[in-house]
Amino acid sequence: MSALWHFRTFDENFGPDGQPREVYRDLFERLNRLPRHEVRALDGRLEATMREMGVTFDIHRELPWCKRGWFCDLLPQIFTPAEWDPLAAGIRQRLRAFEMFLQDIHSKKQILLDGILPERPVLGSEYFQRAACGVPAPGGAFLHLSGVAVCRLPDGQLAVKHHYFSNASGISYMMQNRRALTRVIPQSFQDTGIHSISDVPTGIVEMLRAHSDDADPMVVLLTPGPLSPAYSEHCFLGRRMGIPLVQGGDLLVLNDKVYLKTVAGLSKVDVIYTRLSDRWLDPMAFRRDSMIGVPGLVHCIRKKSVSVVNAIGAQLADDRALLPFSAQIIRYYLAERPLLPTVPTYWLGDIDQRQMVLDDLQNFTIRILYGERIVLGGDGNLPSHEKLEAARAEILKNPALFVAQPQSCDAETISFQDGDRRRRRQDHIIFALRETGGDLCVFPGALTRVSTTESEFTSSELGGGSKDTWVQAGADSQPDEWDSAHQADGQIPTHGVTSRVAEAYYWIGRYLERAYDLAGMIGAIESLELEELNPVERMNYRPVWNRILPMLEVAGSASRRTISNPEGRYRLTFDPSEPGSVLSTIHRAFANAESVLETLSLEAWGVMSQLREKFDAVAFDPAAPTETLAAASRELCLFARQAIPQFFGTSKVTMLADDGWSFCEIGQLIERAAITANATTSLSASLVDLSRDRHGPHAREIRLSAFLRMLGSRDIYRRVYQMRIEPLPMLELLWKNPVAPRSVLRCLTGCASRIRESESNLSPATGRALAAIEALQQSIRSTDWETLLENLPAGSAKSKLQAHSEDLLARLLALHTTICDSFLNHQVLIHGETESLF
Amino acid sequence: MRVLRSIDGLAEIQGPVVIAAGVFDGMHLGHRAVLRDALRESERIGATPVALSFDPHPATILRPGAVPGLLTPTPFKLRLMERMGFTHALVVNFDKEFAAIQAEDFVEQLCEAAKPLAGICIGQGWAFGNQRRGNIDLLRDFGRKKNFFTCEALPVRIEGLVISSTLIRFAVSEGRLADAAQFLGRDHAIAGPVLRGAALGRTMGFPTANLATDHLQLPPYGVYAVEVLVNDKLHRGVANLGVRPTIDLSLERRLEVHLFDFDGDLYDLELEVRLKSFLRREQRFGSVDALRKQIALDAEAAREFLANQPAAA
Repeated sequence: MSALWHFRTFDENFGPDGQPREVYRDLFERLNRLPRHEVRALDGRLEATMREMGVTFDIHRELPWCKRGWFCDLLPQIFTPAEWDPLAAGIRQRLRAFEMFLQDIHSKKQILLDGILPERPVLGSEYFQRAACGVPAPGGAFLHLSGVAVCRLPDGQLAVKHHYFSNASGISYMMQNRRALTRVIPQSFQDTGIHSISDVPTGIVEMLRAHSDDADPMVVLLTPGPLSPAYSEHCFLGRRMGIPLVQGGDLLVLNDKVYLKTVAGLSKVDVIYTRLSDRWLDPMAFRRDSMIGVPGLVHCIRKKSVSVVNAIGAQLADDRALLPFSAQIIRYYLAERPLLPTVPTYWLGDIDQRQMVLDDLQNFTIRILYGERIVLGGDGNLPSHEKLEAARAEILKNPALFVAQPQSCDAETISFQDGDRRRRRQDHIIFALRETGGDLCVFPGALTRVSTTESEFTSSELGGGSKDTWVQAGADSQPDEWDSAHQADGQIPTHGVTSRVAEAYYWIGRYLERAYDLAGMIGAIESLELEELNPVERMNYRPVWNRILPMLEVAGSASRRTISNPEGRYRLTFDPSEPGSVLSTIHRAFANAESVLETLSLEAWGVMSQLREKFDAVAFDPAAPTETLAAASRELCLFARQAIPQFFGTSKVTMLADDGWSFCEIGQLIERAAITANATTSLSASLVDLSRDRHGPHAREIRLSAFLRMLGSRDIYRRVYQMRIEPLPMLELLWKNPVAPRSVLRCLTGCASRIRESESNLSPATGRALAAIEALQQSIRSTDWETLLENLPAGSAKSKLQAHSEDLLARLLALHTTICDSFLNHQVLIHGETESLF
Repeated sequence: MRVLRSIDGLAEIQGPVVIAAGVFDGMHLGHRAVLRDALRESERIGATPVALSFDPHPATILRPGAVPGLLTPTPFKLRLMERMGFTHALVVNFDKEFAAIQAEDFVEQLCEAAKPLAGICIGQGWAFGNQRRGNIDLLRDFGRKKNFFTCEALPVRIEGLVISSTLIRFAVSEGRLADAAQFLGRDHAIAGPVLRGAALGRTMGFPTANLATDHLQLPPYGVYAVEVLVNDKLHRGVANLGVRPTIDLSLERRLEVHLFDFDGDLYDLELEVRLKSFLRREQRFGSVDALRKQIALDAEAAREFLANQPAAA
């Protein structure tokens, strides 16, 4: 029995004599020579390296970028060839047997007919997908990339603790641990002959590519999304394998084929490496409430137009209820003696096993069949009476949901923390790949999971950390050359940005511009109020304020919002229930940014978070004194006016200038053009009056000045025209000046050039969008504003100026639909028009 | 609870389905074991549990001469299933046509309708289909082909006796309410809608709600201390089961319930009258006045009995 735990476990690093085991002697000697502060420094460097590499594992995802860093220990786990070779052989044997088991269960079910296994844990498994029967498996096999959890029995023998056959989660952490440790203690690697694992992603991607007949197949990694705790792993693998990381919504099924939606149009997908549980994969075949799957995917697999790895149905092999039957399965299909034992596992659905476990409950770890939750034990300690009783009650409620394993099955190891040695518990996940020829290759490394200060559990989901795992090269094999360049990221091929990412950026651009303009207007009015206008000036300003407001809604419509009193402006700034408030608009931009977090730069995200935090810190209280309201609106609007351009500027210098970013700018420009056009259209009814001089030049000047000031264009007007503000030059400035930042024409030119420059120039949609923009530009250029202004309306009819402005505005707003349909949601491609493409 | 009236209705349910099948008359401990199996298995695999039963009782068609009294008419049975946690029930109309269906065809229909059928739970020894050829073995064989599992619940025994509907009917008919309650896992109850009566009770100062008792397995005629569930609220009361010889010459059998301290309209509501204790046999009185006095005494006795009972949920 260990000093720390109640159960006798095997000591990984030290022999029964208390001396370090042979394999660890050198390492311990090296570490012993170092003073404590240096060990602590090394430890700190390792942690910093992990953070720098962006390796995270989120258990509770409270805040983006506040992800939980991945813990890797300074002391690696070492396997000798004498230990590793039988272990790898055992894993290969198990995989062969379970492959045959999956084939059998999804066809004849001979093993059930022969009475070797009971039916309930097989046909009654949550992982048994009836829809997978008869669906072709890629390359005729279910398991291509697998994981196996292995631990030590008290006598030191390695045994299988759990199958992760269908879900090899942790490969990236295994590699990242190695990358980080080679950076921190490179000399140890040079002295020790160990196998390299750096070509693991290459091996995987080669296997994936082999499942398509296409010479250059499109392979994608399907992830559940940023909410998955292992999202950082998915990003890493996608990047290292040079394949796009996609979510269910990025794929669509059309004419029996799967396509990836990119801004360059639809791109046919040949192989999908999925990290989604089967039942979420296709709402048409499995759970209908799945929002993260691809409707129609199973149909495409049947049509053999796409391969999904691992094959659907493979998850059945991971069911913990089958662990107790592993030996039977190996013997039945291979007629061989199992090489690798299984940790004694009891399925509590069986009445005898249940009774045995319940009689001795404190000595067992109780797990649920699916997922990582541990109901009892697992931490090496005897549970309290309360815990025992609670677990007993939970088990008895639905016994078939649990398995039990003895508590004594994790080994004890040393882990460094702050330069100190701590005793921890550990187990390992080992990964294997079915190579193109059908051979099984066990990667010479592992993800060794250790308990930490925060968690006595080894599982990453439960707060465990990890160790790098070295497999020593045997005497007869050459250790791999250690080359730090070899460890770096390889050449990353570029792919068209997916439409989802582009769309999120487009909306970030639009919402931020909207918030910026509204904040500008509110800020301008608050400043005007401070300037203590006289009653005549006020009278002339107010109509413009209220007229300009609907520009954020529909031109010319009556607004229920008010901008003319401090309460109204305060609401427009901070009201969380007001969909158009600055606060709500910033929240929307933020939500979009969050959905593409992995592509945003840390710096840009920092600006965005700061903006949101500042707004969120204001407690919404419209009943506060008027001065307080006005001061809050003024201060925060001013802040937004600074922070939003800061976001755009920071992003521009810190992020990839790819299609994603282009669409952010396109969104920003479209929004700005729309707001300008909407504002001038709102004012157009009264402009004809103003130009007729009915109110006198002074009143006209005040009104137009207020208008331009709210659009942030008064100074620009003065710089361009150097004269008092008149309706005609103002219209020309706002509609067609080629250099004024707000001018509609300039915004459109900006949009067109970004579309032209984008990588996705191949799409037929590009031409359509450009043609629409150019036609609108032409109409704006050829508008004779002077004649329109002179044209008096007949009776109550609209003036020609108003009608023309409304027409231009409508065409401008229609551009949004054209851009969305062409690049973002592919409505045009899906419906009719471009049928011939496929 | 969603009640499906045809097997095809199973297609409405999203995702895998686990069916608990049986006649389930009485909803006794043995039935509950089967139904609980289905609930547990569904929870384990994320499926929808569906309780499958038959209406009318198969014996009505198969053995018209020997139809047993019902312990739980279908609406009551469905309510009890809902209370156990079922969100869906399938009530198969048991007619001559259905009785002629082969067991294989029945299972085949279930497999085709459900999307998909993940499992079937039955009680040990339950047989179905024409000639009662359908049993656990047939289900297991089918399951291997159609990818569903079968669970067989062992019979529940109390003091060596296998609990069955027949056993409970005997106990009820002999007035052994305590035995019946032990087998049922709850008090024996008579449930049904309140009928319009002659309002005679009201004129005597004891307003009553009348329940029809056709086709039901009844305990001996007499007066009972009862607890009555009205709109999920439990009330105490006294009930007379019988033909009301003093005031009604039609000799029509009914259950009349008087609720203590209750003032409200019960017409057309569904009542569940739980028989707690037998107070006295039904008897004929010389006058309505004598009857009224006796009712007052009965009510007092019932109050006293119920007051000493642990409060029911």
